Amino acid sequence: MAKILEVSGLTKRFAGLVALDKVNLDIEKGEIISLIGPNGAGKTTVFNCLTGVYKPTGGLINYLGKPLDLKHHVPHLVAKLGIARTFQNIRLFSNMTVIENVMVSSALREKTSFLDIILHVKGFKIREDSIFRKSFELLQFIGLSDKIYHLASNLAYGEQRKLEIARALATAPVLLLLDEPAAGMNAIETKDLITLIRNIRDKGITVFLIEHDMKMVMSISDRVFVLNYGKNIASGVPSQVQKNELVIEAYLGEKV
Amino acid sequence: MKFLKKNIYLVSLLAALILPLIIDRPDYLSIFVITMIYILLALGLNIVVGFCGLLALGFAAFYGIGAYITAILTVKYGLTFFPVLIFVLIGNGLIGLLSGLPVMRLRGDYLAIVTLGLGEITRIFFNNIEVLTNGPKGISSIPNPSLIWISVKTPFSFYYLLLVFVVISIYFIKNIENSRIGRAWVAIREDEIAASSVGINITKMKLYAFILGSMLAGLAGFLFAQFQTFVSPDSFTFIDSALVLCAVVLGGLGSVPGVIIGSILLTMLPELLRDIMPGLADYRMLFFGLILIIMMLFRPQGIFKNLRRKSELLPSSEAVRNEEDESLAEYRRS
Ligand SMILES: Nc1ncnc2c1ncn2[C@@H]1O[C@H](COP(=O)(O)OP(=O)(O)OP(=O)(O)O)[C@@H](O)[C@H]1O
Ligand SMILES: [Mg+2]
Repeated sequence: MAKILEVSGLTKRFAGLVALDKVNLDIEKGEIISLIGPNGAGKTTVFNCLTGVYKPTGGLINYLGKPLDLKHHVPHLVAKLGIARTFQNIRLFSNMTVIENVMVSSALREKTSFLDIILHVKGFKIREDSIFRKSFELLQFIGLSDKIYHLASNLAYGEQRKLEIARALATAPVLLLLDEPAAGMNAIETKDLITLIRNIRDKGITVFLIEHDMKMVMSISDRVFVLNYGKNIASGVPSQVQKNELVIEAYLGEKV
Repeated sequence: MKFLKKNIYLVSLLAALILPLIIDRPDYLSIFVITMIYILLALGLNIVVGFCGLLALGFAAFYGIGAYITAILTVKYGLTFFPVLIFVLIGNGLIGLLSGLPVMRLRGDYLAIVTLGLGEITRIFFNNIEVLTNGPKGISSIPNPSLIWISVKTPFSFYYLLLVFVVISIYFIKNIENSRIGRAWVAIREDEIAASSVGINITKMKLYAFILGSMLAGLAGFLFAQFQTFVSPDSFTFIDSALVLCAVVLGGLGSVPGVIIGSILLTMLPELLRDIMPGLADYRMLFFGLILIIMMLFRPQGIFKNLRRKSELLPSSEAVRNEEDESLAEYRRS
């Protein structure tokens, strides 16, 4: 199996605080991988370092067999390379409609030239239609196609999480990073989400997931990485990780 | 009513076309010309502030640069309408780019203060670089434009010249608004981190906004200089920047029809007041300030809500459901 992502020695320091301390991860194509750990363990920081929101202090990130140039590591280039993400604290374009939220990112793979845009030539119309159609199809896939003209901010919480996933998928990613997608969802919504994530994987997209819902993590993941205080403490298939002493200790008796 | 709503631009254009035939008074027509110059300015500032969410003050600097380029090239170098227009658009585009570069990392209050400073520096530059700008005396006897076969002299003919430029500008702006660039601008306004995470190059898009905004202001300055036949630093002060911002906020940040209405109100109302109560015109600025405060208190979204926001009210209404059904049907057919 081909490695999609190999992270080695990833370190991130914030004035005095070592948020990530030589973290290692590897993800193979077509896997669903989970990243877990207690609050403040550094999970979101891993995502932010991968996507260029933060510049890593040290370490290597190999993506599709090639090292990422961490000097020019900025979010929009990462998106272009095929890494898409959602956010722990939902970050939608609140005052845009549902379909527009998705159309914003569909445009990444359908560049209309500036001249076409100002003159509205025929090619523009065709591209614009295709952007709309792709976005609509994604919303059908995600289950929001009956609300395309609603404002994003008017959606229910669970729907907003789903819209964020649709928006991320619209960039046509190779690797999808989901930061606590089940947070705030009820049991039924979580079940739907699990099905959705499997469907995404079946489309050939590799999924890397941060999640606190242990039942979900254990049922969906091919492998799990565990962080505590910015350090790897365990990794492996769910059944192994569940039995790991260090993990149980990190969660202080919390049932894993 | 539905026809009116759907064809709001067409109906307004027809009204604008016959207006000078009904009100054929040079003094009124001059006011209309100034109104349209402010519409161009407000359309430009709306790209930066309304679409992109960047609070830039000192916008009058771009306006002034367009006007001075026009004055210098026509008076000192004898260039004609179209060559000057091209120089203005390129010059203002470059100035927009150059002034955009250093402020790219700034946001909110910081951006407002720095752009305010850049605006003042430009005005001081107009005042002091005498060889180029003739200092506080300004540049006079700018020729009226002559386009190939017609010469534009009277307010009547200027009115139609302005109308042509306003219509073309609105057409281009609407096209850009409804494209990936327009959507990217609004996405940046809503959430920069999310926007960059879906592949939007924030710096590039913000620079586009500055360049286009500056070009529109330059166009306004280009027409203003030839209409007044005179430019001086006094026409491009902070007060002028504030007036344009006021028009954008009053009409509705991010709404093209809104900022047009805002500009019309803010340029015509003081003139009306002058007719009714001559003394009151001196309190113009007080009146603008009051409008801004009242708007912020009671209708911060402006007279016209940005359409993207307007849909907030609609999902439950028949109108949108029909629209949704229509587009779905259309989608299935294709
Ligand atoms: N921009 C920042 N500046 C300073 N410290 C930060 C910053 N971002 C994160 N940290 C710190 O890094 C540590 C790891 O934070 P992170 O958000 O990655 O945790 P997490 O594992 O995602 O936690 P949670 O489960 O609560 O989301 C925390 O101590 C946090 O306070
Ligand atoms: Mg987190």
